[in-house]
Amino acid sequence: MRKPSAEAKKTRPPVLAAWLVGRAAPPDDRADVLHDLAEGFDERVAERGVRHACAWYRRQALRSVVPLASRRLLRPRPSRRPALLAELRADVRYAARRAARTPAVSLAVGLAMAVGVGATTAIASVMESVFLTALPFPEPDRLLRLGTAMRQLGEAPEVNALDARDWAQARSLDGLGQYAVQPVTVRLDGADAPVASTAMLATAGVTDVLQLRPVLGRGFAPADFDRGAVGVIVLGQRFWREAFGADPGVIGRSVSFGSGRATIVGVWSDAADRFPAGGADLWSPLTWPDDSFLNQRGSIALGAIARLRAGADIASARAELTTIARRLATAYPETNAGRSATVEPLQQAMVGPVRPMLLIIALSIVAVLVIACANVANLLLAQTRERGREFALRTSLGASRGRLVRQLLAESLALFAVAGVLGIAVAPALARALIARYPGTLPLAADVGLDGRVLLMAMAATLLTALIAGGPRLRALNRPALAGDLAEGARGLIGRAQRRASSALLMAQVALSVVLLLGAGALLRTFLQLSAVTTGLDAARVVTMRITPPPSALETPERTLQFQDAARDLAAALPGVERAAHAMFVPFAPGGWHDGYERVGAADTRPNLPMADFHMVSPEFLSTLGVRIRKGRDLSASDMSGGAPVLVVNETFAARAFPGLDAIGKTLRWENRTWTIVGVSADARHGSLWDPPDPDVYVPRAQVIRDNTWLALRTARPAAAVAAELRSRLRTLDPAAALTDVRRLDERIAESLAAERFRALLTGSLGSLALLLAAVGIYGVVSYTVSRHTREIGIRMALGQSRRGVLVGVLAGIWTTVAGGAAIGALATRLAAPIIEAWLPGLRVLEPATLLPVLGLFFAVATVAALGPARRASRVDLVDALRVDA
Amino acid sequence: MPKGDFLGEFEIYVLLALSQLDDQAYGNAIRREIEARTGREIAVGAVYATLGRLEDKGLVRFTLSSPDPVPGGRARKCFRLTAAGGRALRHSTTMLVRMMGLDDAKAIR
Repeated sequence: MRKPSAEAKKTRPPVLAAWLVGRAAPPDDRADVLHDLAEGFDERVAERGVRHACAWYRRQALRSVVPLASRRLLRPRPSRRPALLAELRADVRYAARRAARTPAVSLAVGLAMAVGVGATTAIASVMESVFLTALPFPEPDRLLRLGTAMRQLGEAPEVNALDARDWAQARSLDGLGQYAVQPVTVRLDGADAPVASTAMLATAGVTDVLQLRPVLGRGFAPADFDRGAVGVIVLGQRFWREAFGADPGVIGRSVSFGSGRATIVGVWSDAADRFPAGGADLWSPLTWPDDSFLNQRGSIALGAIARLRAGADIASARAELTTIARRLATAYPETNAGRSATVEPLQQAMVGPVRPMLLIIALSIVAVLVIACANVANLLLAQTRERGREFALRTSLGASRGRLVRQLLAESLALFAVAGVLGIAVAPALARALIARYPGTLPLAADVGLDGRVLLMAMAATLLTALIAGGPRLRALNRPALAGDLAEGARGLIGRAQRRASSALLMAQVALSVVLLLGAGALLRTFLQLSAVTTGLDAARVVTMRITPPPSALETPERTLQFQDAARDLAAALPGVERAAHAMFVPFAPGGWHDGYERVGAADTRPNLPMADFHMVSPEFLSTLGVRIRKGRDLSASDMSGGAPVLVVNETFAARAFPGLDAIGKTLRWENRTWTIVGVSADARHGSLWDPPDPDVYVPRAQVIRDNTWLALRTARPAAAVAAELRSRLRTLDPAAALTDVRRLDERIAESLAAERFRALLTGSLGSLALLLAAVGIYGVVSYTVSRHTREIGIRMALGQSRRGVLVGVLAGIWTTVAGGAAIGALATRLAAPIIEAWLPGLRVLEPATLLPVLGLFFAVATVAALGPARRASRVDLVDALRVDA
Repeated sequence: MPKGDFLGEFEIYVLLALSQLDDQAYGNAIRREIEARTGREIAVGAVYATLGRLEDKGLVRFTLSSPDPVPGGRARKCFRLTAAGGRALRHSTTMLVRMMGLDDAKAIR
């Protein structure tokens, strides 16, 4: 027998064999089996040496594996499954009890997460409806939107009516339709109030291309487009439900439609509500008289859609249309030179403009969600450390680490399940609010709802938040210093890993908040800049409205002008109205006339004519709007049809067309006439606040008569009152005249900024929310850190540090973290700036004017948030702090 | 144990070993006893698996002894024969004797 040697005492059994047996054995027996094997091993080492012992061990292992494993598998378990379920139930109940003990915190956490998940789900469902759902027309990917590209004016989503008819000959196209969307007043016979509605005036091609079907009555018939045909209306389904309560009896009813009459002949299926974007209330055939400006090659006024023929693709359509356009350019050089067709898939064209904004909204919401999660994560992390004693106790009673992890997971999941359910419940309302508030119309391809994909997204969001928030503390469980926890209780020093996790979370929150605030600041700055632009108009005292002349007035141009002058005189005679004027277009209302002109004596020739905006106005127009004359004279009543053709131009025009010279007396050729400039006015904005003023030309209306009529009134009275009075007086003039679209000019200007205002407001709100959450997070983390560091602080003070020193120390700590986070945020913004600025042109994200206030704001907020706990730290009682036991 | 259920061979050995060890023993002791008497190496796992089955049938039960006074010491299972176990053992051995024709109806112990 060999003497047990020093090595033998330290010899261990073969690891692999031990592991194998350990795995195979039922958990209850594992300890005993391994112990017995170890005992036998030691005996044999003592008897016959290590090698013999190892061989025996391996033999034992091999021959034990099968019996143990089959025992494990076959024994009639008190089924595990119910145990897990019972465990889960117990854990959830426990979590609920704990949450109930701190109701304020639990409620805040639950609500924050619910809103976060709800908002994310809402924006996801909106985006799904816009980007991921196909339009409900047959083969929607074969639908095209056509437009015109002009060499000097760029691209427009409209077409010339005659060009479009020529384009329709292309073999790649299977149908082409043209349309215009207009506001129109409709009144049912017998109803007292007219309803302002949106009308889709469309050619037969549109209904053919979209393959619209009526669900009631009929659609358009070829006879509806004949000259002199009785007007017909087909209702959109949503309008039918809302305005007529889905009454099938509307078919056959006669209505007053704009300035004429029409009969309702049908109701479309709900597919028609998806085009144009937002859906039109009613559809009517689009026709125009022979002498309409639409029949001139120069006008570009109608929208156009087409369908690809089976077998053709977009490339072939583009190629064909280019060829046709070139042919037209040769045939009609005056109008069509440099003009070509643009072709885009229809849904893409509808969705493109809203993509940047929706993406920004989505990203902002997700950022806020992540910040909220980080807050909750920090909170849970702190709680977990506090519960160290609880975990230590349970471990000593036999709970495995897996069991503890399962308990924490159950708690997290319970919390977030609640948040998820609430969030999903809240999401539809949030989505509806977003759609309602969105400036403009969102091109929704289907009703926004919670379908499978969105619900999946919602659950993913919930799970993600559960992981982000609950994750860090699971790692805190890793440290098995549980005996220490039992002894020390809650007063121990914070673990470094946990402190790092906490700081990292905080920095992430700060970084995200900074990004959001910088974005919001930039958008706010843009909005404020635009709001501050001087329009050159006396907008608060001007009311504009649209007049539809009665059919009798449209018979000859003279009658039209007569009607327009008469309407203006009626308006000017109203009490409280200082002046009135009529014009073809008014500022910040749709429509305009952009055209080229020739300067007499200069070498202006097509296709490189200088361009300007032409405004056909009555003589009082400029004075009604408050635009001052700088040189020469204003238009006057004597500039009538028979008189000399004169113009007033604005300063920008004068500077561009006749730089350095006096524009008065210069002549132009336009509309086949020679005009003399008699006055130069101050600049005024007519439509866009973004760009610098355009060159404007004011033409006496009498010289260029058109039936488009807008009135501008200078008055301090409210718009609605004035309009009502005017409407009644107009009716005495001619009952078939209609008055619509009444607004004060400053309201129209504000509306033109609706998109910018919305963006600034939304990102501002989200940014402020993020800041608030970050502040709450800072407060929480500093509070907690201070409470854990009490002993350390006490020691420092005992060694001579002043109370102020402690305060500054805590603040310095938080400032470092905030500085780090802000730096990351600023850097991220810098990196993302090119992308964001591409989406929203004109935006500069990282200007010092925004950066400094945002950083300053952040530091101020962080300091305020940290001040409370920091002061508490400085007030720590030495005796308390240095006490040893818990 | 209901009549008609038979004990397996190894189960009988384990029960016999237990009965030889004053009705109670640790798993290892049982194994050593069977090894000593049969002269064959017996796998620890087989012993424990069998003990587990016997416990399911109610023929043995175990108590947890106090843990060894060493760090990480665990409580160990100490097995004993139940009354039913004793009866089953006697029944089985009686049947065996009869099958072998050794009709000596002398009960074990």
